[in-house]
Amino acid sequence: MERDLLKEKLTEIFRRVFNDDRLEVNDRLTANDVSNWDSLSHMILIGEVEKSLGITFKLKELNKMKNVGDMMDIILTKL
Amino acid sequence: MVFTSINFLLFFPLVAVLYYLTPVKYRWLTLLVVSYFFYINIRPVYALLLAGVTASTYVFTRLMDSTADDVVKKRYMVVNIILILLPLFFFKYFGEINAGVTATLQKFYLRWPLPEIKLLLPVGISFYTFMAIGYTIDVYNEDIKAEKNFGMVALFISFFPLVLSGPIERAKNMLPQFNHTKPVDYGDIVKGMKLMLWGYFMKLVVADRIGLYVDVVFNEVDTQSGTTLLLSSMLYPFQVYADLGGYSLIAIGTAKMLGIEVMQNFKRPFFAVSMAEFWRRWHISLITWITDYVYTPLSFKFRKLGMRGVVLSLLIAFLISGIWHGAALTFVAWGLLQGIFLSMEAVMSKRRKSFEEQYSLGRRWWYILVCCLLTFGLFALSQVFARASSISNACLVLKRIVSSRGGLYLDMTNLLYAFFGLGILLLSEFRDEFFPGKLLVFENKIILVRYTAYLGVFFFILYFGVFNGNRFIYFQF
Amino acid sequence: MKFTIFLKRLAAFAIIFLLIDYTASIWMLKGLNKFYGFDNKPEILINGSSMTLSGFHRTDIEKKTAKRVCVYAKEGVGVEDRYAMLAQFFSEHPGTVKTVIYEVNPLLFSSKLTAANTYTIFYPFFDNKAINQYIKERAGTADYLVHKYCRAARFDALTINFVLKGYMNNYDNFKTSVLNTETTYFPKEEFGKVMIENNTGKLNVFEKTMQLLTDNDTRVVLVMMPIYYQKQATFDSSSYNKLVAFYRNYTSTNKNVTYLDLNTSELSHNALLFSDLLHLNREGQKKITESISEFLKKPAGI
Repeated sequence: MERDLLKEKLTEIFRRVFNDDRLEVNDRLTANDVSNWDSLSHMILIGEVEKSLGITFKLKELNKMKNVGDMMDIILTKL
Repeated sequence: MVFTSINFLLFFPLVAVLYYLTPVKYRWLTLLVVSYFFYINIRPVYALLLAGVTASTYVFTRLMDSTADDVVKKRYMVVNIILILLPLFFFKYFGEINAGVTATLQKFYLRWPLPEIKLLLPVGISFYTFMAIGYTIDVYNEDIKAEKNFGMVALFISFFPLVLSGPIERAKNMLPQFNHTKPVDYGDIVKGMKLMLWGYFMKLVVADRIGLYVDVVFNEVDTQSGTTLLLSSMLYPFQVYADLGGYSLIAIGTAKMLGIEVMQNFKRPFFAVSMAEFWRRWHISLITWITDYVYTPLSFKFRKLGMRGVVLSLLIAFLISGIWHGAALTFVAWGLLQGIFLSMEAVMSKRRKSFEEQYSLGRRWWYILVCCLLTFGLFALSQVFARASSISNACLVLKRIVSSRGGLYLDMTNLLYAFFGLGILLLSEFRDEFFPGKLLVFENKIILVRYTAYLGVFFFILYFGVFNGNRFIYFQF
Repeated sequence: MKFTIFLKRLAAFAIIFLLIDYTASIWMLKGLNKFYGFDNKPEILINGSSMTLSGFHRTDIEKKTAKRVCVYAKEGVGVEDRYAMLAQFFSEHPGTVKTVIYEVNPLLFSSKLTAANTYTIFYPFFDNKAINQYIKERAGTADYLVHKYCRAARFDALTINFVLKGYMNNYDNFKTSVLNTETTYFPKEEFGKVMIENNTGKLNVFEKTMQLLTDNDTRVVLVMMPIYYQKQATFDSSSYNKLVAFYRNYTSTNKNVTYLDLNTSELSHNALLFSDLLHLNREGQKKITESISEFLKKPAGI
């Protein structure tokens, strides 16, 4: 999958999970930038991303995700 | 020796001088020797346990790094975790569980073959065990390479400012600092002294003064009125904060004087507007540990269950947090309460956010105040369970608060000094929370202001601090 | 920051601290002496424990007897501490006091009442050579040195209370709460009675104390303080009577010593006068302040 297409899909997922229609996803986005994104909602996000894209993360990979850019890099290796 | 003993105040300056006189290459060794001297001074036998936990952790982390097979790695990790949890389990929980099982079986007229065991808890075991486990898991996750120098690992686990009461640090933060110690920086030494000064103020003046009042009330719950119990329950969270928070500052300040940066453990917790935020400000080192090593793996495992998975993980994580504090059922209740509060908040979070945005409440000062008070109230409620001697005792306290009014028990001397100290503490934090950088005292540019403040706090500690913790027990008929 | 600057600042801090420390301690000691009534050429001295503190009102007695009174008492003190207190007092204020009220209670000669750290009550008076020695013998080295050189450490919260009261001319020291007889626990009969002990070592100290008071040319009044009757019922009566007999006997063989029993049934049965089983509240304080003043006004009492 192309990175831009992935970004579009993630934007849709993020907006749904965090209940924010104006949310824009970019490489440098982190939990600090989104008001509803904390350790409680993080796993819900991960679950939704896995479900929507049909992939499975490993716990070790989660630790390596410092921002959405990292997340996209990891997802792209699985698609 | 505890931080608040004269021995420590004599011991530490000597340590600092010795440390900076040691050539940079061997400073870690000085710290290691000093840390073990410190620990052996408390109880020599338990230093063996400390060394044992260190040895096991060293061996298994090295083994993990030596293999590429993930299954084998996991096995090494699990074995080490079990091994080092065994002493913690045995010393901290076995006695209670044994007594509980014996009592239960007695109800059925059965005898439990194991005798009643009363064990003295090795000091700091809850803290250093968690640090060792964290390191083990970090190596498994390939977050950090296993340290090859056995002495370094030993130092990490036994580092004397942290070993007794935390903060619970991570290998990733500490090992590099031990491997590359900084040259002496007098600015750091002064900063460290300021942290220690404030820490001693919090512990000796605020925490211990409140403690003298609260202890009397909670020791005779049956005879105290609801009003008195209410006041004590409102004061107790401040006591715990000033106690652990103060102690943490002393630990952080001590490390800073040695040029070592240790993580912040508290961040003005009583200005939190929700329980979720509270737990980002209270006992940060413990909660981030539980989040990283318990909650995250659990919630990851249950992620297919959506919100129910989150709730389940929260309950388990805080249950463990409660049990970590102590073996009694009251701590279990405390942990469960926290888990319930957070779960409720997580479930309602979206609705709360939209409610706040609809009426733009987020900025209104009175709304912030109400949220802070509510959060404080919830926390104080859960702390009744942590403080009471049993669950029934806690329920009695809560019942009496609601049902029986009555005269207020006052210990004017202690309460006055406690409120005065608490007032200073809260004002200082209020300033840091809402007007950071303004009205500085310890950090004021004018040296006269700074020195007046240092002297003022110092004398305050000497005059109003609690030094002989126990009152005179007179007339013991 | 450079090392030299650091050192200079540290030294400056230490010097300023010691200066303020010294000045403050002088000021505090003065206030303490004022509160106790030491600085006023007292004619009557009352010595005792917390029962004295809550039982006698210094300036009330002064008003009623038209004599200057000082009260030297601290919570938890045993017979050895009281000997030291009296020795200190007479060495610092010789020749003025002519009457000493010495509180006695059933636990005075019990070997159980020896709180390990009651020497700390003498910290404010560290500068007195005898007190210095007394503390040196009992405190650990670190404790001794810290309190010798850091004067602020000599004053604890309670003492500061007294200092402030002294400067505010407030000599009140009483509790206003009333004993709650319904909720107070009384041990059951079958657990046996508490023996009143007459430890020989402690008796010797008592004799030494009486000798000290006699040497200083004073009349001594041994005052038995009121104790709530239900608490007294837990004492073994024969050993208690033996103690009272000892005091009475002592007074018959020592002409300058009198025994005054304020533990009358009228007082001890009145729960409204007590804040707890052993200590009087403000109402009880008024009553025995009246009693002692009347006693002191009588020719034989003074």
